Amino acid sequence: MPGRRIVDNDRIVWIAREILPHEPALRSWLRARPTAGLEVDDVIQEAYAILAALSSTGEIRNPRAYLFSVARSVVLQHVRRARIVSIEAMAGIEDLCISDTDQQPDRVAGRSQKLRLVAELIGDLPHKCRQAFVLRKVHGLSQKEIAGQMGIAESTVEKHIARGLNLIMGWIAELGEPAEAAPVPVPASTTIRKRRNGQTTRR
Amino acid sequence: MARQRAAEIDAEAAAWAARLDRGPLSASEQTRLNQWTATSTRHVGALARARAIHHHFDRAAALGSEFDPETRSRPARRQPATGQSLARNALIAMAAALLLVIGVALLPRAQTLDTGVGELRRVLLDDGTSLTLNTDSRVAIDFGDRRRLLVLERGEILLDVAHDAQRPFVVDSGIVRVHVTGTRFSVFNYPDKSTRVTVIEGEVELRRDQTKDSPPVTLTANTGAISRDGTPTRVTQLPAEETERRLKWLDGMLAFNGQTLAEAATEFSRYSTYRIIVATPEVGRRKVVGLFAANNPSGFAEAVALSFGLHAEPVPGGVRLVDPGRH
Repeated sequence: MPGRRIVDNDRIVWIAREILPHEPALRSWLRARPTAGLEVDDVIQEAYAILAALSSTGEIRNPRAYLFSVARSVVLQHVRRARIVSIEAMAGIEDLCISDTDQQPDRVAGRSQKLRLVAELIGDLPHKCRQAFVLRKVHGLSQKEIAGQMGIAESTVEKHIARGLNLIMGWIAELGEPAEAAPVPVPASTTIRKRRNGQTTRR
Repeated sequence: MARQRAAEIDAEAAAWAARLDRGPLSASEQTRLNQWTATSTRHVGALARARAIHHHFDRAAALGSEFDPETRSRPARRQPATGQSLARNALIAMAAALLLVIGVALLPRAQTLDTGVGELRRVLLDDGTSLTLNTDSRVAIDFGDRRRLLVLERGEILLDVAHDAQRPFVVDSGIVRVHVTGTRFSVFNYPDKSTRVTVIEGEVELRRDQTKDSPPVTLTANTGAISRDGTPTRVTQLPAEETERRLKWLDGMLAFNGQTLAEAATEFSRYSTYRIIVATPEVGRRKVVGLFAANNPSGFAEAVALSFGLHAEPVPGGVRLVDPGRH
């Protein structure tokens, strides 16, 4: 069991800033290398636990690479522990070597794109969750103040925050590569708003 | 002990993160949390992740003062595949060329927003209200300390109004004022100078300037109203599928369920400059049923021509639907 169970706020902030943005890329990387008996979600949770329990993060110069190494070690540990090591799992081991191309820092989405993603995720929340989130995160009201404004109990505000957070956690897990990497292909002939002859362009 | 699924652990972690966000824990809560984190390293990891994601949304505070007008002129992009939007994405992907521009941003208090022809725009207002503008629409937003005012200058909007007992929400269409406390409804300024209100959830009150023959009218869920200067507001109960039909534009689709071809052609003309011309009134009276992409008027014209046995003759800027049996 890791020594530190309730994680310091400083560590949470480090994780939010340095690790979270790379989660979608890590998930894609893991999905491309499936391991029998191990879900991507499991690896992610274990990896975060390891990062949370580190005695210090000051020495980590490349958090993205570090995250990938941690995830790799989680997978290897699972493979070693499995009583029956399947041929498929062993065959994938060399795939776990991290190539330099996985560590390009320029693949991280720019700041304004990240902010837009934040707004969109909030915008997709159900009505009351969204309201609670906006009041909490944009206006900085405490949960108690939100209860007063929305006319509901504090415990209900807490439930809205919990539900909204859970939804967002799930959506982040579904994200593919960072925004600028591989969106749904849009036909080259697509135009945006006004067209010369008024005719819409087909696929 | 069976392995817990990741989703279940995440839900528990989200609940703990929300509890920690609320304030200090009592002694018994702290004990429960210690027990929960001691159960498995995955619990520790899930909670760290949940708290990090919660912290990440402190960035949302930056959005309050950082409205980016460029969100509207971004090139057509898909919505990210968030859970609730996946079905919507599937519909949009099925339509021909993706033309919807969807941007979500938080706005300062006084602001004008508009959409061009064929554009769809969703915006989150700073009270938590969600505002969606359909094609060719314009609103002016004026939030104060005592009330929240939206003026619908042109077009059609859908509102999902956040509850705020201190500040009533009013939409002024120029013909009627819609008063709400917290609800979901659309307001549409028709080209014939009437306002159509459709209530999906909750309750709204319509007020008019000429109060002598227009007392305030209350509308509840699945009710529609048409208001025109000089005539009293007309209220209709709507079957649930009619309410849904009126909102298909949110998905970039137009749904018809017995509307005439002439009405359908007029509806399509809101979304692009392509013109569907109905050759004779008789052709225009045919009833249309179906679901069509709003940004594919020529596809719609071809489809109805096929089903009604009409000829679709290309004309500059559009198409003319003719009944070949009559000249």
